[in-house]
Amino acid sequence: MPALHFVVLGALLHGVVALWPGAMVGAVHVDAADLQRLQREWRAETGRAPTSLELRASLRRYLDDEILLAEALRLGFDASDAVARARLLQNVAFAFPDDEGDDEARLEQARTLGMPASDLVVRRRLIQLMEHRLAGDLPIDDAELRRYVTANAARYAPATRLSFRQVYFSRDARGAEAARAQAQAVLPVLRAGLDGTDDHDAATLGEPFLHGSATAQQTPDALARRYGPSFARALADAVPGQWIGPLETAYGWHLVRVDAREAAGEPDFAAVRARAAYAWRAEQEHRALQERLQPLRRRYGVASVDDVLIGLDAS
Amino acid sequence: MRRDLGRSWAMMVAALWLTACGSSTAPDDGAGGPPGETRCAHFDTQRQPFFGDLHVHTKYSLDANTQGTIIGPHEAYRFALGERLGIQPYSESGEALRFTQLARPLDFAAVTDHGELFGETEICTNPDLPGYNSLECRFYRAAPAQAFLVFNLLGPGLPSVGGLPIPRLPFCGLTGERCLDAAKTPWRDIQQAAAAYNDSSRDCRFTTFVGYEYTAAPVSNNLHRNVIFTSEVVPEIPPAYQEFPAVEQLWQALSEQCRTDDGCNYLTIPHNSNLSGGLMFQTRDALGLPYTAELAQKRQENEPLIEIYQHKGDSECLNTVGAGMQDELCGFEKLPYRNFTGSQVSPAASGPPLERDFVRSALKEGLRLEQELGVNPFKFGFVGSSDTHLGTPGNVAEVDYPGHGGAGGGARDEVPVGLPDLIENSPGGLAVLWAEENTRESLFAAMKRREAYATSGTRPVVRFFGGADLPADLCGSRRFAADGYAHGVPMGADLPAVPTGAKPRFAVSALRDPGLGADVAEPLQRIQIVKGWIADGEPQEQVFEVAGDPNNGASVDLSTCATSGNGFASLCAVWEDPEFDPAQPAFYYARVLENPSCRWSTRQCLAAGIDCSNPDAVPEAFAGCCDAAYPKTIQERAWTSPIWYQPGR
Repeated sequence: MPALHFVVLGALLHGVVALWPGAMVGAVHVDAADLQRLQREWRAETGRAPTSLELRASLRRYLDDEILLAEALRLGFDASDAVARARLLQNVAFAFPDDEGDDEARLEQARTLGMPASDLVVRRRLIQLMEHRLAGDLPIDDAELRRYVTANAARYAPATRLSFRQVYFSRDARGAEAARAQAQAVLPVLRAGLDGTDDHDAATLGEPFLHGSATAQQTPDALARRYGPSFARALADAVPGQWIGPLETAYGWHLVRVDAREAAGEPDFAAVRARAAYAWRAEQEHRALQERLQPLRRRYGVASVDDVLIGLDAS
Repeated sequence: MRRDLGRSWAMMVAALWLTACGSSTAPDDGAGGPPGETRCAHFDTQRQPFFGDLHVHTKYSLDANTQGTIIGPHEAYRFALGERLGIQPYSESGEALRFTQLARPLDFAAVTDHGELFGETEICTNPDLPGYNSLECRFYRAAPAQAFLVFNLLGPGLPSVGGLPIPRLPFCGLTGERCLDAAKTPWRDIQQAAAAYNDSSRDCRFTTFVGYEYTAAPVSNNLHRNVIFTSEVVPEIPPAYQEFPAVEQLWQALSEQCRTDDGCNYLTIPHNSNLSGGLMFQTRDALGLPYTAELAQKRQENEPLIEIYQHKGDSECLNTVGAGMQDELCGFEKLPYRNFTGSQVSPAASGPPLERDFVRSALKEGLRLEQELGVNPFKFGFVGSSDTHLGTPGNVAEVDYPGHGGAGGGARDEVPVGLPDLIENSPGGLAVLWAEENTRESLFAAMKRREAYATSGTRPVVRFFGGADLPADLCGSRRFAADGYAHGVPMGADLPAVPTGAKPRFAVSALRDPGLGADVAEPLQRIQIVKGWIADGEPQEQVFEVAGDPNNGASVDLSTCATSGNGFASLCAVWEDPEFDPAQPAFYYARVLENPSCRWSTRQCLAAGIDCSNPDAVPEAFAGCCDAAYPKTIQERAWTSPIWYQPGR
């Protein structure tokens, strides 16, 4: 099999392709063993067999990688790219320590042995280089970018921010039920007398808490991570200025007064534009790569996964 | 325009100067900091804990065993942000068939791919290669020391770059022309991803750091460092092991190519000293000469932190030989070998782990060297991280650990085909930084002053202060942090002078990890303080129980992984060293332990119905389930950075 690869790759490398386009058909090789390997790898990764859809996706991916690899070799990236070149030379020097050929001879040797395809580092590097070449630097479309920013408001829009005070009743210190009961008892005291008058005295009605009794401008997400999702939801829904609770957390019970809530806003496009552009472009690269692979798939005779599968069945 | 650039330059330098000054241990009182509008909304003078992962490999680590799941730096950051990520392979119509998501987003992350595989240096140094004559390479060769990136100059208000619709990153040069020619490369993509997801708004939801891994592994012995940069200003080409084969050469290269005056700052974080074959804490330089005070100083400055726990095991302590070693809790997630030969060939080919490769041993050796040289080269604060090779930062829960095989969840209801990783490996840990706000400057300052702690993957909150003047009733006080800072120093710092006849006091307070969704967590069990010191030139250590209850009866039902027994939602202690001797240098760090729970492997063996009482029926792929050398449970924990005492200081 390496011999066949060599013939095909050698043909690519030596420009025979340009003279004899028919040679392209079948240049990317796939057989029943490849299909079985893809199934095995899927099982190893997910712990189950792939569905038909998943197997076809795996095969598409494998064929695309083979195309990119063949194109990278056609363009001589194995010799020109620093990582691929160094790695191949190192492999050959390791395999044939007595060989005294120059670098070019060693690279030729590496190709003969199919090393660019079989060495995982070189293989991945060459595929990545081709991916970057095909879809590496897309132009920015401002209208598209605006839509992207709107669609990803969680990243780009100002978040809701909550400032609050709390009185904490410790489960460890009082026991769960007693802590809740005490919190219940203190709530009317806070509502009646201490509202906004003496916050320090309010806190002394409960236990000290490591996160403190006053918290400024945290997002509901950050609060969910510190206190749990139900606590964060209760604060997001609370009427500012009013003591609420008791709210239960992993730590005990809390009485809480939201002092200020800054509502979530609209994204400031000018401010997030550069950040969003990098992110948008990275996401578009996947689509662009698919598009630009299409003609290559045809050239390599593997445009349709169905046809490849039918061909495999027939053989 | 030129004047504008000059002004932003001056402002940047001023901001960095302020950052540098932030390395004092007292928090900002709010008066001397940056103006209000540049702060994050959540700015807190008493500092707050931020959880992150500083060791993340993506598809650019070409040696990563990523199978079909290839996640790049952009996707890695989106994963860390908590976004649901579609992963390979895609259907023929380009739709993702599988998804992965973090149960709890992180506050910060750094993608740290292997710099050795970026391959950009040789392009510029090998005249045979295309690209050698590119502008980029001419610039690099002409002025390697100045080959830094000046992002800030191209920030808001930047000149329009040749009609291009988006601001270009600084490596494009001031006029942008270099980018017009330059191909996309891994290092550039990594920088762009860091720029894309670093939240520079007042919300400060997420911080990224540009970084890479310096992958030195002579004869399979691990001397790896993660290099973390404080800003967008980073070297044109990351100094790598091929060109700089000793760590002091790496620091030299970084000090030349990443200069504070240019807005560049860095630190290096060593990891997996447990796999260094006796080399990580050797005290000889590249030429085999013993450490000098100068080199010791360099190491202390460049390496304020060490990664004490990650995917490839725990590096805290081994507990084999030495005075006072009676710490059974050192038997935590230990790899049974001393270098990569152990995992890649066989444990026997590597030999057992070495005491001197563990951090506690190095901390003691550092105290001894300080007596000898006047400088402590091993003054490490602690962080944990994942070392994920799947591009999935923070994916460190024991539940549903995907191993190195795949990040792709999907249907888990079918019978797994085997353990997804070597039995000795772990999901990894997290880095926690105490900082005023979630920005690069604030987090980096926390790293530099070592106000950091490591966790084994869960998220307990831990504060640790030291000082002879700390109030004895701090645990009952509502001013734990304020008085801790006012009357003592936080984790990572040097103890203030201890008055004659007094004993140093330490205050430690912890909140349990509350868990969230699929991330379940156990309550706290206890807090210990680990002391190491030098007596008559000999290293000593002792572990003190200071809070909680080691015999609280917490247990795990191994047939269901259900946990039982009481634990604590919070623990606090103020402790005085009863055996303090003012003539002996010492360090103190706190270790916070949760109640035990099922290890990742136990969960998966259970799900697969493995019955070890019938060895013949156990499939080969599950053989690890019945290996008695590995524990069934894990006691998740946090390790604070130490506080150091030096006689006569």
